[in-house]
Amino acid sequence: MKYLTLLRANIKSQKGSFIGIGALMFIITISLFAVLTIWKNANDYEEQQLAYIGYGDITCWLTYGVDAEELTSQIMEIEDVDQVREQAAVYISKYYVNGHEGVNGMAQLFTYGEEGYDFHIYNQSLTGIEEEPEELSEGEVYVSPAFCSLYDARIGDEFLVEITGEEDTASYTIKGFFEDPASGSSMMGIKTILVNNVDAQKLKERVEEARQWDKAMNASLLHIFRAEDSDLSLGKLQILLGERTDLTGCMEFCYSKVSIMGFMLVLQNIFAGFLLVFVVVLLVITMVVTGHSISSSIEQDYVNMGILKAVGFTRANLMWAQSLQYMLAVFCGVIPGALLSGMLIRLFNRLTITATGMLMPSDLDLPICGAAIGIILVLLLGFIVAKTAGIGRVTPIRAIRGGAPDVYFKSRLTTRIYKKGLPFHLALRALVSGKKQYISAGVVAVLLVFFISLTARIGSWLGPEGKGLMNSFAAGDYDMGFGCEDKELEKEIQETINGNARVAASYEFKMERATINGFECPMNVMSKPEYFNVVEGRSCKYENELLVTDVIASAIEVEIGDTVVVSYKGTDKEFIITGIYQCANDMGENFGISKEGWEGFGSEPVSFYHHYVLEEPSQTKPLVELLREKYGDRADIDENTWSGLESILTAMQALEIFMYGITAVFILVAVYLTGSKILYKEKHDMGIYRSLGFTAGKLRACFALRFFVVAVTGSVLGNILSRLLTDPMAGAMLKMFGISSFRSALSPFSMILSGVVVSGLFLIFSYGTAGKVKKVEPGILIVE
Amino acid sequence: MTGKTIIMKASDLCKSFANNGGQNHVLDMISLEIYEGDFTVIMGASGAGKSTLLYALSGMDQPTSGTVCYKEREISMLKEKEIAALRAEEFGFVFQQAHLVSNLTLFENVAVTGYLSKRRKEKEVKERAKALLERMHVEKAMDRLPSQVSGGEAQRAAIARAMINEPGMLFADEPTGALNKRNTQEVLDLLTGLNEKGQSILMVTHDMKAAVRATRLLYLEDGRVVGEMAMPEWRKEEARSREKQVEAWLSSMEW
Repeated sequence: MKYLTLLRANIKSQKGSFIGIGALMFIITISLFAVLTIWKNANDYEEQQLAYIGYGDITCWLTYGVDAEELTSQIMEIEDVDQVREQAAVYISKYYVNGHEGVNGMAQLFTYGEEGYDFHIYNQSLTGIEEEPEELSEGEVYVSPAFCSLYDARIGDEFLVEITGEEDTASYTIKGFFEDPASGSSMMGIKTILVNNVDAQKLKERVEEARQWDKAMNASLLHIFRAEDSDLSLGKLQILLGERTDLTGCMEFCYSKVSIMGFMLVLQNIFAGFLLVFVVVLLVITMVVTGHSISSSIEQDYVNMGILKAVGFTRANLMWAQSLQYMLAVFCGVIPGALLSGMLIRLFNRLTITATGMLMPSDLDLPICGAAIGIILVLLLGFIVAKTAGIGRVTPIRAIRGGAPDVYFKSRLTTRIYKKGLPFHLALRALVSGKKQYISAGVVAVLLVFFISLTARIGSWLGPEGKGLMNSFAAGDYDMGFGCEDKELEKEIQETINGNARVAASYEFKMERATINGFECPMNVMSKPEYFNVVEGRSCKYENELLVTDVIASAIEVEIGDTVVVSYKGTDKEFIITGIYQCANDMGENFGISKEGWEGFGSEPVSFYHHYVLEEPSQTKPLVELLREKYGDRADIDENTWSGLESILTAMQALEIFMYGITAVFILVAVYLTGSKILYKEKHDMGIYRSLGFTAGKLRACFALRFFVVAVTGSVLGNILSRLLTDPMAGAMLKMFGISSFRSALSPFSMILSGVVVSGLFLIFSYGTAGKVKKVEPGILIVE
Repeated sequence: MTGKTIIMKASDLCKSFANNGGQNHVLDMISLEIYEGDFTVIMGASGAGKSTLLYALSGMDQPTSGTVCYKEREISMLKEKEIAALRAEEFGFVFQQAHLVSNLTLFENVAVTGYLSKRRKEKEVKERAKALLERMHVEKAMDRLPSQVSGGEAQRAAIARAMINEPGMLFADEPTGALNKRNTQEVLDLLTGLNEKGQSILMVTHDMKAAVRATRLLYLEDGRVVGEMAMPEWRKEEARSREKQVEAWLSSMEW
């Protein structure tokens, strides 16, 4: 009962702190639960659904005319393989959705209803799975919901595939959308289409008849399942498959389950990791602010606590009452945060289905969320109890003498006070005298500016059109390129490019599939290898040299100076690794050689892509449009972009807005909690200043200036921290996605912007908090 | 009429507080005039409304009704900025406690008040602050913080602060209330010295030793001025006889 009475009185007298801490914990809980659940559910569900649609641990996209049965029996001889299943497909290189040309990859058409390969069909509003989906009629297809974001596709729109060219097409109507855990995300170039079995048969016949394999191809996928008792990693199994079977020469490409999951969940994983760090930063801020609030409350309640001790309350009684009060505030934020997080997750999953291609489960992951919040609560309880230990210093006698007034001892660090800019000098003096009180505000500013600046640095690396990301995926930087078989046309296009844009550099490029020490992956061939993005060592100058990515180096356990064997089209050749280069294509699993090195395989001459770096990147779009208009039907015109880029850029922008919003709330609460306690402590000094002739406005400005100075200092430190830590932190995170080299740069304007926003918010909110000064009249100095 | 210039005038001044559904009149229709160059002392029993009257006259507190004019300007009509300027330029205030800003040294406490005045440049303010602190005999402590000096030193610095802008009127609310005998004597001597040089002072006290320094005494009872006595300028050698005179007057007021 005594605790209840104290608790009620404490909450009443410190409503502001109570609400503030509750609000911070609400934001932390809702963000933490949402991030953890979205991340965990997405990964679990993705793995589950890949198995549901029949994908194996390794999936190989076989090329035309392969004897799949023979290959299967070869693979089955490997003791680490449990099962191999074949799935028929038609690969289409050019398709149109609703009139928009499909970008960055082929479409693979599967027969809907094929035994052993089941798919979930979404309801019309994309809010759930149809229990009994309708069968596909002839002329109908199911597509990924990602088509909605990529091509603004709707039910009833046209889906058209080219068999040999513009004149030879097959047209279908989109009947609905299906869940595609293998290639459904807008981040994936390849797209799966489900067709009626009659249509599938008809299409196969037409493709077989046309026999233009670069346009359309009848083929199949091999799903390889690792034996349960196998201790081989999927990477090692992939190498073993290359060594012991004819698979390498029979396929277009091959991905492990881990790689597919990595591609599919790249967006969720990047942003979940990012937001998780942000939540940790917010938690630190909350602890700093709560710590300051507790210390100030003890000082504020010194007299009352002394009186309570005098009437028999023990130190433990008072500590528990205080701790209970703060923990109650924490719970008041945690409980609604936990309850509402489900809604936020549902909303997020519904909003992102057209980007991720999957409707992820929205059920809270109770074990993970419970464990995370449990750790946070224990941490906070320990922190609060430690902070309330200051109550031990409260003695009845000191309380009776008027509490613990501020005594400022002269510090070595002092500031002078001048007439000109008096409020500023008084603000500085207050800061220097009461350093401790402003530490929490300073820490808040440092952490927030650090995180905003970190986001801005990543945003700036991405660039407004995602150039940074695109260059990370490309073997060498480029703005646009083209490829065509006809030499005359090639010359004409080159002339058009040179006549319409200033070209800074150009080189020939080709991506082939090969194996390196038995590991099957893309091989990037470049006519000017100096344009490879080398991050360590040097480029491959001579024909017996090559470059590997970090990912490949660790997958096949090699380093610079090692000799590797590359198998390409039945020929094996030795190469020396001269450097590590950056190319996130295929999650970083690729290597690069010079055109001379490629020619060493004795390959037949083939046409290369021509990549261009323009002096003015803004010229890219109009140039690509012009080239597509003139040569679109005879050549592949390529802009350095990909289907998922827009989603990443949109998510990045949304993240920046979200972070600025949360930052504003945190600054508001932090300034209110810190400021109101400081104001309470300085009420007496404020009364003196007013009796001397200071206006309330001048005192408010003086008060706000203190926070401004703290925020500006914090902003500078935050920017320095972000300068030092962004590259290693973001680099470590992006390495998981094959981007091994991350170097950020921030323009002076962007660097200043985060500081200006944070300092401005501190200034505005502290000026608002100091509104209480208006109520402080010199009358408080009156002793009747 | 005394022939002196009126510096401050209060008319029908009332200050009431709500009390158990009724009204408690601390000041009850007080009308009075304060003259330039006078050392006016307000006396009265505890709760008579002395401090309330002082704060109402100085603009530190708003009366419930009535008007206060300083040099013919009605101060209750002034806006916040104007009243702040009046406090900075025209009024000096000495409280019962020194009430110095805790994170400023004694010198800075005085100088900051001087900086608020538009009449003086910074250099001049600093020189004057130093001179005043010397005059108040606290020059040795002027670089110390209020927490590092004695109550007497703090109170003398507070007087220097009140005087930095050469106020037209110096208000003092029990300025010796928290001081020991020696410090009380010093502070009273300082105030008397200032008055001798023409400084108008309005002081509230219930200390006989302070009251005898007055040139004019007002007696307050139940929120009304019920008695008044004029006295010649203070002379130390007449201290005893003045004390007797004041005692007799206070007895007549039933103090």
